[in-house]
Amino acid sequence: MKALLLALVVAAGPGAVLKPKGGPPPASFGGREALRPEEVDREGAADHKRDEQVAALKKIIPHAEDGSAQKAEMLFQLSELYWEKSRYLYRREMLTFFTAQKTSADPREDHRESELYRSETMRLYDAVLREYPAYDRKDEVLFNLAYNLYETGQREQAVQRYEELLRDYATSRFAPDTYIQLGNHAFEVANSIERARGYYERAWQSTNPKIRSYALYKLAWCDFNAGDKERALARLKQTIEFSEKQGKDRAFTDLKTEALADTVRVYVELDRLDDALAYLPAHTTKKRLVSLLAKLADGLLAAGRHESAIRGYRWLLTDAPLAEAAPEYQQAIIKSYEGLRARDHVRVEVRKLAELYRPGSDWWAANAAKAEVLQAGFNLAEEALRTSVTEYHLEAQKTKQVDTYRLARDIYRVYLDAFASSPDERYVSDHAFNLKFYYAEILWALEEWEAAARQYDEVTSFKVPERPEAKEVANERYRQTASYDAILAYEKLVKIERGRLAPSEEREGRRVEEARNKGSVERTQKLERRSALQLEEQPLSRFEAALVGACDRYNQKYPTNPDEIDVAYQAALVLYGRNHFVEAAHRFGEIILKHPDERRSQEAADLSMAVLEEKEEWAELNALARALKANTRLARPGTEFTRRVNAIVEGSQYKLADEVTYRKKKDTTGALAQFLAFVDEFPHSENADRALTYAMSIASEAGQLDTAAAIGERLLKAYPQTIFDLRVKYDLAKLYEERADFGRAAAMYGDFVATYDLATSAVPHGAKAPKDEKQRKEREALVERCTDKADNWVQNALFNAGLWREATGALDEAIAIKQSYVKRFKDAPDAPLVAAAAGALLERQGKLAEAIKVNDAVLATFGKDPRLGDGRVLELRYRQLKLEEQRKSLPDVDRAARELIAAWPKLKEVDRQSPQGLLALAHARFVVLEPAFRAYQELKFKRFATFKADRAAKEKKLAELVTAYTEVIQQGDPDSGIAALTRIGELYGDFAANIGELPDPPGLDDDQAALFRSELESRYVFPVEQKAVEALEKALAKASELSVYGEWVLLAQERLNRFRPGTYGKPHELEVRAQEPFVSAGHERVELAPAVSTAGQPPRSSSVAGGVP
Amino acid sequence: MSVRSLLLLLSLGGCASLGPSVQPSPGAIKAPERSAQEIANQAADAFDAGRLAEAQAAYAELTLRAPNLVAVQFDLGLIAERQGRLTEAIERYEAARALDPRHKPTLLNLGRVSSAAGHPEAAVALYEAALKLAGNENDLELTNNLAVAYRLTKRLDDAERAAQRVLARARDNPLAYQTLALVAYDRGSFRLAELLALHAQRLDASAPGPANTLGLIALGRGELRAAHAHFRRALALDARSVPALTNLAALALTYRDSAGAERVLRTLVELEPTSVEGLISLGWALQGQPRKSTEAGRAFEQALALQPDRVEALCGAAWAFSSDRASWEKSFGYFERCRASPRTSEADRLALDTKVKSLRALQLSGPSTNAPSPRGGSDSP
Repeated sequence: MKALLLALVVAAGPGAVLKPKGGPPPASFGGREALRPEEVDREGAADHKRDEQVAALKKIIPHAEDGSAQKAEMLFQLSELYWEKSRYLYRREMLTFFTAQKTSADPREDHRESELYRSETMRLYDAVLREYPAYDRKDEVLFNLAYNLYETGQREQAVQRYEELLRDYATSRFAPDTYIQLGNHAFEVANSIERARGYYERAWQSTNPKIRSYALYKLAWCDFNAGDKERALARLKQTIEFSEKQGKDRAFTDLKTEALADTVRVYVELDRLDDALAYLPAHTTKKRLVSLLAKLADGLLAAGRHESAIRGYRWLLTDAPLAEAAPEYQQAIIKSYEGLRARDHVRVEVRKLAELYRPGSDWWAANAAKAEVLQAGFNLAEEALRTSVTEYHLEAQKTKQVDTYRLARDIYRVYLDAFASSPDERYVSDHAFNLKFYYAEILWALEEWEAAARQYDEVTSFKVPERPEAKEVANERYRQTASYDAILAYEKLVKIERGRLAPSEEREGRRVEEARNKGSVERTQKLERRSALQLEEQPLSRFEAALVGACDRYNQKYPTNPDEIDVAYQAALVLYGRNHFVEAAHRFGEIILKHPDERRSQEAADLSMAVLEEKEEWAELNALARALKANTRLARPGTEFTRRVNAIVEGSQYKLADEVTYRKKKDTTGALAQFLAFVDEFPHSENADRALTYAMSIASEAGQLDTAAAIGERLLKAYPQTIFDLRVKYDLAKLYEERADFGRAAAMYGDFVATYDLATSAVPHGAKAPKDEKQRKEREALVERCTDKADNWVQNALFNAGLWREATGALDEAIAIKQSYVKRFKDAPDAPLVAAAAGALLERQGKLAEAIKVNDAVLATFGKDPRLGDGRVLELRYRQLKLEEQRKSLPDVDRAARELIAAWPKLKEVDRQSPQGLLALAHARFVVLEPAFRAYQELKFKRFATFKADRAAKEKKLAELVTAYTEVIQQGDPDSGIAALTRIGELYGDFAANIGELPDPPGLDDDQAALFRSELESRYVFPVEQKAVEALEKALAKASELSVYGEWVLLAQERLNRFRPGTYGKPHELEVRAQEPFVSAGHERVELAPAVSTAGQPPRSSSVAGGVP
Repeated sequence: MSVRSLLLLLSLGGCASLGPSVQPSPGAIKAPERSAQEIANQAADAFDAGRLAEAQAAYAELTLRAPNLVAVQFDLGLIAERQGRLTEAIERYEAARALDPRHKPTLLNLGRVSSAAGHPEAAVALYEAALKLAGNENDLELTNNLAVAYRLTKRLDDAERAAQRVLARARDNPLAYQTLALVAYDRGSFRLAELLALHAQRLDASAPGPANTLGLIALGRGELRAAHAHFRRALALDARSVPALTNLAALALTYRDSAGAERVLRTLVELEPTSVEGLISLGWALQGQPRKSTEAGRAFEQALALQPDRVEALCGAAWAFSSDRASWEKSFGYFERCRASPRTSEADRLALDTKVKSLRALQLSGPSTNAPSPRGGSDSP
C-alpha cells in the first residue's frame, strides 16, 4: 500500500521533467493551505501514541531473538513508526516555519529533527536488509529504502536498490511502482527517453489502474519529447479517457487534470485550436475549460500563432465578456495583431480595450466590488494603450507621415478619455499628464490649433494623481511649456480669425514637422492711439478671450518667466484692439510698473492714462497715475513725462472726488473729505479753489454749517483771486444767515454785491484774471448767474443786506442799501415796498420829516403802481397821518387825514373793508374831527345872560360831533370806535363841566346862589353827566369786550373816575412771560425687565415675584 | 444702564439677599401681592388718564420695591411738576439724575423746572455739565436748553452762541430761532426779534411760542392791538399756554380790564393752581369788579397758602375782605400783616390806617352797613 501511495505521490509531478516542481516527500502535502495548526495538533496526539508504541517496541526488540523473523518484523515496524514520526515532525517544522514567516523577515526551515527520524528509519531499513536477508517483506523494505535514498539525493544508491528489487523480486507488488520510479529517473534525470519509455511500458503492463494510467500519461510525454506530438496527443486523450473511466478517485481526477492541461501544450504545438475547442468541452468543467483555453490562447500567442490565438481569445471574450481576465484577453488580441503587424486591427482593438475596460464600462461595473481586478484591468488597458500610442507617436516622428500622426492623435484621444479623465485619481494613469502633453503636441504638429490650445490649457491645470509613482513619472516642465504653447495656439487662432494667417489645409501625404520651433509671443505689434470715446467697446471673440485668459494664466503661474512682459502686452493689446480701454489701460499700467525700463512702458503709460481719462475712470486713473509717479525708474524727476503724471494725479484726484464720489456715488461725506484732502495735498492746484467751493457746498447741504462757513472763509483767505469768489461769498452770506449770524451775513452780502459790481465794472480787478478760455467762460457764466432772472443773487444779496442791517440796528446803512436796491432794481416787484421800508426805518430813527418825505416820494413814484397796491398805498397814507400826528403839526395832520379820506373811496372794496383799511379810514375820520372837538371845547358858558343861546349853540355842536363820532364808531374799527365813544363821553362831560362852570347870575345871595346851583346841576349837569358816564362806560365795556387797550381806554377810565371816583384804581402790573423754548421730555413708561423664567411660569410674574422683596 | 437691566440686577440681588422669609401669622389671609410690573402698569395707565394722584401713589409703592429705577423717579418728578410742586419735582429729577447722570429726559426736564422755579443758573450748570459728558457734546436738545437757560440768566451772548451752535447743525431748528428771537427781544432789537420769531413760526406753525414772542415784541413797540392778537393766536395754538394767558392777563390788568383779566386768569390758575402770581392777579381782577371782593379775598388767601408772606396777597386780602362787614375781622388781620411788611410804603400805611379806623368806626356805629370800598387796586400797595 505504501508503495502505491508513494507512486501516487510521485504522480503529483509527472511532468517534472518538463515542468519542474518543488516539494520534498516524505512529508508531502498539497500546499501551505493543507497545513493547519489544528491538524498538526491532532497529529501530536497520535504522535504521542506512536511514541508509546516506539517505546514498547524498543523494550520488546532487545528481548527478541536476533536473526528471527519476529525481530525483523519488529525492526521494520519500528522503522515504519519512525518514518511516520519523521513525517509528523516535518509537518510540525513546516508549521513553525510558516508561523515564523509571519513575524520574522528571514525565517529558516529547520528539519533536523525530522531528518533525524528519517535517517533512523533508513538505518533500520538498512539493518533489516543486512541482518535479515530472509525477511519476507524485504521487497517492501528495499522499495522504502530506495525511495528515501532518492529523496535524500542519493540517487545512484536508490537506483541500485530499485534495480535490486526488480532483480530479486520481479513479481513483487512493488515492481510496477519501481518501474515508474526508474522511468521517472530515466526521463527526468538521465534524460533517456527510450529507457524511460521502457520502464513506463512495463508499468503499463500492471493491472493496477493507477500505475497504468500514470504510465500511459508518462508515455505521452515520452512521445512528445521524442517529437511525436500527434501520438503524444493521442496518449494524453487516452490517459484522460482512461482516468474518466476510473471514477472519482482523486488520483485519477488529478491525473486527468494534468493530462488535460498538457493537451493544451500539445494543441499549441500542433496549432490545433479547433480540435481543442471540439475535444476539451466534453472532458472538463466550464471553469476548467476557460482556464485551459486561456492557457491555450496564451500558448498560441507565445508561439506566434497569432490568428489562432486571436480566435482563442475571442472565444474566451465571447464566452464571458465581463470576466475578470477579459482585459488581459483583449490585450493579448492586440499583441497578436501587433504580431501580425495589422495596424488597423491594432487601432480598433486598442480602442476596444480602452472602451470596454475603462472606468465606467460594463466590465468596470460588473467587477466593481473587486478593486484589485479593476486596478489590474485599468493598468492593463492603460499600459496597452499607452504602449501602443507611444509607439505610433515615435513612428510618426520618424516617418513624419500625417496619417501616422493622425493615428497617434486618435489613440491619444482614446487614451486620455479612458485613463486621464476620471474624477477618482486611482483611475487616472501615472502617465496621463505626460500623454496629455504629447497629445497636445501632436495636435499642434497637425496644426489643429483650437484642439491643441484646449489641450495645452488642460495640461496647464492638470492634476497629477497624489501618488509617488505618478509624481515621478509626470514631467512637470511640460506644464509651463503647455501654458506658453496655449498662448501660441490661441494667437494662431486669433490671427486666422483676423485673416492674418491662413487656416491649415487638409493635405494628405504632407510631412509633419513636429520638432519645428513653435515660435514665441508676438512682440512687434504697435499701439495705435485711438479715441476711447468714439469707439464703442466690442465683445472679444471666443479666441481672443481665450488668448487673454491664457496669457493671464501663464503670467500668474509663472510670474518671473522671461516672456512675462510680452505675454502681458499681448493680452492688453487684444483688449485694446476691441476697445476695452479701461481694462487695457489697467493692464498696460501693470506692465509699466513692473517693467519701467521697457521701451513700451512709457508709451503704454501715456496711452493708459489717456484711455482712463477719456473714459473718465477717475479712480483707476488716479491709482495708476499715483503708482506711476511713485515709480522713480519710470517717472524720473524733471522729465516731461513726470510732469504729465503729476498733473494727472492731481486732476484725477479732483475728478474722483467730484465726479465719482460726489456725483455718481452721492457720498457727500466721502466727497467732502476728499475735496479737503485734495486741497491739503495740492494747495497750489488750479482746482484747489474749486475743490473748496464744492466742499463748502457739500458741507452746507449736509447741514454742517460751521464746517461750510469755515471752508468758505478759508477759500477766500487762501485764494483771494479765485474765480468762484462770487459764489462763495453769496453762499457764505447765506450760511451766516442760516446760522443766525446776521451781522456777518449782512456784511458778506454787501461784500458779494461789491465784488459783483467790481467784476462787471470796466476794470474787474477783483476777479482772478482767468488764465484760459475755459476759466474765462466759467467766470463769465458765474457773473451772469449772479443776475439770473429766476434767482437773482445780486438782488437777493442787496435785499438781505438791507434786511439784516435793519435787523441788527444799523439803520443808516439799511436805509442806504434799501434805497440802493430801489434804484438798482426799480422794476423788481418789491421795489416799492423796499422804498417804503426805507421810510419806516427813518421813522424808527425818529427822523419824522425825512420819513414823511420818503413816504411822499414813494407815494408819488409808486402811488399808482400795481406792485404797491391800494392796500399798501392806504397803509402808507395812514403812516403818513400817524407821522404827522407825531409831529403834532395839526394842519398837516388834518391834511393827511383828509387825503386819506379822499383816497379811500377810490380803493378796491377788498382794501376798503380790510381791517387795515377800516382802521385807516376810521382813524382819519376821527382825526379830522379833532379841530371841531377842540373848537367845541372852546365853547364856554361865560355869562348867564347868553347861557341859553350859548347852550343851544354848544348843544348843536354836541349833536353834530356825536353824530360824527357815531359815524366813526360805525366804521367798525375797534380802536377808533373806543376813541370816538370816549370822545362822546368827553363831549358830554365837557358840556356838563361848562354848565357847572357857568357864573352865577349877578345879584343872587348865597341861598339863591345855592338854589341856582342845585337847580342847574339837577336840570342840566347831572343828565348830561349821566350821558357822559354812559358813553364812557360803553366805551370801556366795549373795550373790555373787544380787548381793546390803549390810551383811549385809560382816558375813558380817567374821565369816568371823575364822575365816579375810585372806580378805576391804580393799574396792577403782571409781568409778561415768554414761552421758553425748552425741549421737554414726557412721561416714561416703566417697563420692567423679564427675568429668566422657570418652567411653566409666565416670565413677567416670575421675574418680579422672585426679584422684588 | 437701562431700566430693564437695573431691575434685572435688582431682582437677582434681591433673591440673593432675601434671607429667611417671614412666616405668615397663622390664620392671616393676605391678598395676593401684586407684581412690580403690575404696579408699574397701573401707574402708567393712571398717568396717561390724567389721574396723577393715583399714578403718584402707585409709583411711590413701586419705589419701595425698586428705589433705584430711574424711570420711576423721573415720572414722579413729572407728576410733581404737573401738580405745581416744583421743589419736589426738582428733588425727584435730581434723584433720577443721581441714578443715571445721562438720563436725557431727566436732564431736559430738570433744567426747565429749575428755571421755572427761579433757578436758571442751576439749569445752566446742569446743561453745561451734561454737554461735557462723552457723546453729548453735540446734543442739539441739550444745547438748545442751555441756550434758553443762558437767556434766563441774562447771558444773552452765550444764549445766542448756543442757539447758533444748534443752527449750525440743524439749520431749521425752530426752537433755536425762538431762543434767538427772545434774545433779540431782551436786547430790545425788536425788528430782529420779529424776523426771527416769524421764521420760527414758519418752521413750526403749530408752536405757540413764536406767536407769544411776536406779542411781546408788539407790546414792546406799543402795538397793543397786534400784541393782543398774537397772544390770542398763541392761545389758539395751545389753550394751555400759560405765557399767553399771563400776557393777556397782564395786558388786561395794565388797562384795568378786570373782567377781561379774570377770564384768562381763571384759566391760568386752573392750569397752574400753585401759581402765586396767577392767584394774586386773579384777586386783583376780581377786586376790580363789583361784588367780587370776597371771591378776590379767597384768591389772595390761596396765594398766601402757597406763599404766606407775599405782601401783595396780604394787602389784597385785607382790602378785599374789608368790603364785607362779615369779614372785617379777617380783614383787620390782613391789614395788620400788610402794614407790617417792609415793602409797604408809608403812604400805603397811612391809607391802611385810615381804612382800619373807618371800619372800626363803622363797627361801632351800626351793625348792617357795609363799608364802601373802592373797586380796583388804587388802595392796595
